[in-house]
Amino acid sequence: MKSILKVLSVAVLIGASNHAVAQETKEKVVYNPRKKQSLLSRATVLYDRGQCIMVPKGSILVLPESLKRKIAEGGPKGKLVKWRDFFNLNSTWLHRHEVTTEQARGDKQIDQEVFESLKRLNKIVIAVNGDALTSVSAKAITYETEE
Amino acid sequence: MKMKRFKQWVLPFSLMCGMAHAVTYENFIVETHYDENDEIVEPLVFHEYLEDTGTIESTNTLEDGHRLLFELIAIQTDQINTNQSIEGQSGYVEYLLGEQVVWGDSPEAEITITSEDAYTVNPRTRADKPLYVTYTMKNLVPLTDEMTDVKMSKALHVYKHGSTVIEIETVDENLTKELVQYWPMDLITNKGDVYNTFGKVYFSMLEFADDSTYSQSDYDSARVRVLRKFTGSLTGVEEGETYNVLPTMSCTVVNSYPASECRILVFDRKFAVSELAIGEEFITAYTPVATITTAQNLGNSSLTQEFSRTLAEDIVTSDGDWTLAFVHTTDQWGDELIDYKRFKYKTTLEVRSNISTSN
Repeated sequence: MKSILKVLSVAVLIGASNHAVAQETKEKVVYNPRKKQSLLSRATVLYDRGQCIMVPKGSILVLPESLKRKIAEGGPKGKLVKWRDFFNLNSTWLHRHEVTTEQARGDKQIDQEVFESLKRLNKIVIAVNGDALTSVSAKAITYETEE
Repeated sequence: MKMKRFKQWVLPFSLMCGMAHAVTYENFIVETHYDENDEIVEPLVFHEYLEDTGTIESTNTLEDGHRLLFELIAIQTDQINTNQSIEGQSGYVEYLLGEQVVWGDSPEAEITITSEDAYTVNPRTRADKPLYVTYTMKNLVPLTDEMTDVKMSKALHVYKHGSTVIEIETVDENLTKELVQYWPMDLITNKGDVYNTFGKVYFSMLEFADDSTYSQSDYDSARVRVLRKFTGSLTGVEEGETYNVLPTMSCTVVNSYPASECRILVFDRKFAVSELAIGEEFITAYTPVATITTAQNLGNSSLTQEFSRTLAEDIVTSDGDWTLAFVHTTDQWGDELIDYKRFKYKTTLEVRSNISTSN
């Protein structure tokens, strides 16, 4: 419980800036084996020009304020397409960043300079691990600030 | 508790159900990590699944009690406007086609080594004496029908000697085996005879990877020290010799066992060689004349001990046949013969003469 609270507070902090980590990722989700969760309930939908993809909640490392409209709030819309096609078509505002399993788990941080450079891209940055899209623990991008 | 036992999972999936031709679907394998309290922990992974059959690889790791749920989900690519999704969300119809769960229960193993030596600080034995291994394997998840194609780790009961690993037994079920007997000379490679073979041997329960390598971390391991068997000699007294002056004898023993005594026993009769080999018979009615004790803690270095003793008439008290036995004595193995000498002691002079008289 302690770690969940910490994650939530970090997400709110980052959300106050222009570049936000998707807050919805950090919701505490309890697995109920009797009630299956839909894919959609675990996904964030990215939308552009009639096409959309679903990415895991928490996989968006950087979400510039100006691109929040690319998130399909209130449910998916358009035609669901393959990731590769969508990324190729939308590389001007969408970027994939490879993370390690340790970083995704929060066991290891993404280098802060790397993360700052990702923010400067002014693109939506999605975490990938190999061919898969992966959520990333907020601990991987929570850095100590100097007083 | 072993952490993150499983490094990689490869799961084969097949799209078995037929879909209507007019409708297209995107297929995903969703990998969700749950902790021991059924709470989702990072990361949540989506694998896009493009073929009808194939495999996906997960690099996630599992701790005890955690599990990975893999769900194969087909989702309709065209938006519809009715509430038909599984949780009633508007948008797309999705179907759960199959799922597999991989549990992160790490096997727990325990190994203990004992020997006939009661010294338990560091188990030890002698090169010519047995050792006993008791091992237990718990929490090894047995293969079930649902897990048929899932890679499982196996635990091995192996012996390690230096860089050499000798696989003794594959343990693929939960079990306890008690006091399994092994002989050091069967295990140690590059060995000589029992007088020259020594070192440490390790028994380990290791994870066995599919590429035939061994995990660096052991489930459990235990070691036992193997010591050389003693050797020695009794000199200064010649076997079968007759003495009219008692000689000085010298004893040398190499590699006496820890906490042992090496003694010279003197018997007032001549034993047959076969009798000398029988300990029970051998140690009755003797006179100990000298003792060397050996410390409890010995390393691998070879230890040589020597001493001399003159046989005096308070020991060899009369003419006749005598036996000297140089023995090595321990609590666990009793008296063991190092060397012996049988001699005759004769102080009276036999004068054979014929006296003839003539009248």
